[in-house]
Amino acid sequence: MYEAQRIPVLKIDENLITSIQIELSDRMVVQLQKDILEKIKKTGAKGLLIDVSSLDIIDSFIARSVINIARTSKYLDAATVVTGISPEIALTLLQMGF
Amino acid sequence: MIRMDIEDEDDINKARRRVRGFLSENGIDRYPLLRSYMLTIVSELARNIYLYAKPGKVNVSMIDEGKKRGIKLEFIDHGPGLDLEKMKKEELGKNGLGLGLTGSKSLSDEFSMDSSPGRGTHITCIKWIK
Repeated sequence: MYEAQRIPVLKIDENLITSIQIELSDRMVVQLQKDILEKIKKTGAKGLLIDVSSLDIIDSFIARSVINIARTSKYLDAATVVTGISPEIALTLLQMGF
Repeated sequence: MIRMDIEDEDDINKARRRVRGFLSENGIDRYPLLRSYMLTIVSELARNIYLYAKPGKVNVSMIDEGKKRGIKLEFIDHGPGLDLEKMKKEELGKNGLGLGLTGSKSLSDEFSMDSSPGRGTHITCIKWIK
């Protein structure tokens, strides 16, 4: 399997910032999860900002992955903030039982 | 109407893209919540086909019933099928497969699933435009 396209994870001061600007494939989500955790470990970042404002869909796989990233980051002592969830996506996730 | 084959992982994204185009052409962009529901169902159930029952098909069409207009999504595969009685007992939603299924059911106005072990699965979701 070829390597998944990567989403950049930037470090600014003590924080990591990632903004998802392209259509996500499942492979990319898995890769992003790995990249973020490795970078937290390497840099000792205390905060993580995930911007999803460009996404027009967050299904259960993506939602669960973001939740997993936030949970695991907490174990590594970094707090996660997710920004840019549109009202439609919020309602869709709620309706699905999240 | 659009028909798509689901065979590899990229087909999940392709299906989402084609349904985006289809919804756009049919004026559904005016209903952002409906659009979000439809795209999410396609993503969930196309992924289930890819993970558990590939290859399969996804059909999307506009339907009219009297004064009502709606969108019909169909997901057809010839995979291992599901034991519906057993799944009811075990409560849908406890594993990955269930979450996509129960979620899609909650997002639909009408949801029907025809499946049995060894015979594949046929799921139909309808959402009316309100």
